[in-house]
Amino acid sequence: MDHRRFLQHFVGSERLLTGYLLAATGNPHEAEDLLQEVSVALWEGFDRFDEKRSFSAWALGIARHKVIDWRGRRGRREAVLDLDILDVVGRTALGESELLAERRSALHRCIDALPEHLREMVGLRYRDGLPLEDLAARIRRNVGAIQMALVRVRRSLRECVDRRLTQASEAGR
Amino acid sequence: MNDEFDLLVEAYLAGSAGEADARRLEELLRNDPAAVETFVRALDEDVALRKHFSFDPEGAEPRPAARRPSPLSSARPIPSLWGPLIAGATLFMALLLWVAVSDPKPQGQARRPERGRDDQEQVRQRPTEIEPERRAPVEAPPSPKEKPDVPREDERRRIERELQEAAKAAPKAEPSREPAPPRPPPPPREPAGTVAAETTRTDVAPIGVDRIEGQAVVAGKTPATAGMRLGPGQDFETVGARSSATLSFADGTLIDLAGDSLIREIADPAAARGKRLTLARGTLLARVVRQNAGPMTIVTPHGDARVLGTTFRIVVDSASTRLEVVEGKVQLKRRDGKSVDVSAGHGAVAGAGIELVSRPLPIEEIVLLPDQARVSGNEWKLVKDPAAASGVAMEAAETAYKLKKSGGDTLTYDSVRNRTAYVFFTFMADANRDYHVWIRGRSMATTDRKFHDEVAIEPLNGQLSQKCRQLGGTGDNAYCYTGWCLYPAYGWLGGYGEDGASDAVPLSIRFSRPGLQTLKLYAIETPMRIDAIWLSSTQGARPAAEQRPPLREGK
Repeated sequence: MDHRRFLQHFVGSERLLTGYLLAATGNPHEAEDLLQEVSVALWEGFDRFDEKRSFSAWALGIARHKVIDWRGRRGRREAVLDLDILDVVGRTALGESELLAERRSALHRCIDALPEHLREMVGLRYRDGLPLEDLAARIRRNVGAIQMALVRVRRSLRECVDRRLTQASEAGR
Repeated sequence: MNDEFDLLVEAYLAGSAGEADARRLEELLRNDPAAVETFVRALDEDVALRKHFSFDPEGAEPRPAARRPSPLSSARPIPSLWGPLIAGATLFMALLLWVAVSDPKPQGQARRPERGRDDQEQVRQRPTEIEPERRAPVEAPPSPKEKPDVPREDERRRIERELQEAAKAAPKAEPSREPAPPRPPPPPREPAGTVAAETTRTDVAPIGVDRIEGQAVVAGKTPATAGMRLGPGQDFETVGARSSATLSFADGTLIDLAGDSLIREIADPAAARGKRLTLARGTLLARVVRQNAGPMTIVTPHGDARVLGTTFRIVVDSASTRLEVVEGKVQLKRRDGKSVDVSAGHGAVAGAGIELVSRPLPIEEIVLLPDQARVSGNEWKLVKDPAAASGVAMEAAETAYKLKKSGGDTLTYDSVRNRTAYVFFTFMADANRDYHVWIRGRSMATTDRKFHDEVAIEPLNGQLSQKCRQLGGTGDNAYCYTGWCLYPAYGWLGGYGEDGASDAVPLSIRFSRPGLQTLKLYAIETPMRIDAIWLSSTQGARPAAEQRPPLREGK
């Protein structure tokens, strides 16, 4: 099989898959583990992949099967989204993949521009993987306040991304 | 979106949502397409945030864009993919002709990452032909409208980095210095061996001699010197196995000649049919920029390699020509007219009595460096370390993992299976091949180093050649490496080497299926740094402490 072509496809779809699996599991660690399973399944099935089709769509289909298997293995777990909602999420992500790629590039600059205390908090959440409860204990605030603070950080990042994309768009005119 | 929705999303993505939260989130998503869009963005942001912070710890500097070109352009995603592949091939080959050619895709398009647009932007690879006949170029020159390269994000994963590093190995496209108008046919070649350097003009002295180590001669007798230029029809030869030379074309194409190699019949690059030279014997490594004026042709005794935009190598010996494709697809055509399409990661051999088929190339050496690592949990981070093989190390300053004493000095370990803090690597490997696993690391402790120098590895689908004593009772398919206390700085271990000898027979992994593999690295005794993991089918003895891992292509 063609390693290179596979990896070209895979790299292009990895974010999409990770996001989908995160939506499916509601747990970043589970999502990472599932991503490993999906990547192996994709590789094993790559011979059957028709390159006239969308790799991302094909990969999402396989990821969907893996999610079903995973849910079966773990038994019924209620605190995850239904499969029909996941399908909508997957389709939407596929449709927005170009926009999401543009946003990511701006997002990293916006993260770097966060005030230090917010950057530290986001770092504890994403670098150290602290659950909200542990994060709250670490910085001595209640969970609700932490959640709201993270929501605000995310909103400010979005505004920053929107602003940068708008500026880039205007500069390109 | 309102606070309720955003809070639900935040809780869900943090793994803190309860069932009622999930149902409410579902309800909002079901009834509002805008909510779905926001949720999709939040998912993507979450992934990006995690990667951003995973790969930017402790001021580890973002990697330069040059090392992170786009997957579409890389000759090296493959880089850890191709690195091992190439390292292995290098070990095997007595004669290696490596023709690295610029990507046929327009540069802007090729180097642009465009994750998420892979399908729309997939550039269909077109076979480049290796055949005696000449053909018109099939690739158009780049459009001036194409976008320039964009800065790389610094959180890319291992596979992506490999792809990017491959692109680093691929030369950048440069404007052709060759005149656009059609030219008259090239003049008849001078007989091989003619020394014409003194009389050649720049446009007819296609190759400059940039570097010579050892001895090289022109026309079989005249000593060659760095700085001279070689004209059409000339021969150039490196004399002795330890000699080498670097030649360059005016457009930036570089050719490295190994020892005892002979090229001849260098053709005028301005000729309508493009650059042309003959490799009569030896090893040639070429980094060829895009050939706008036509394919570059490298003639071998068994056929012609016409280079338009793929990356491949050819090994020439007395009986055969072996093609190994690094990137894209190449058609190998024998003199009897039979041909085979060979795609990346595959090879074929043309020679009398040899079946002409495309086969996967063996992957014999796999080097896993920190820049390929994906970090899970909060124990491992990437740190800058000038002493590390690549300037970056994976460091576990402390671990929550607890050792248990089971009597006397014997320690038994808890299972690593459910640990959430680890580093993991994804890479390509062959099935049913024994890979010795060498890990290069150092204990960062200043006292009692014997108790601060241990990690464990766990392959996803690999069978270990030995059982780990300490993990034996857990059922884990994992193995402990310890003994770095014996090294003052970085050193290699092949397993449990605390007594300085037990890892003389290193741990081996045999993967049960070919292709994509996963290996996890856990901290057992800290503080530790690891700067390389080398899976080798050839390195059976412990490497010297100062030995660096084999270079990956492009490094």
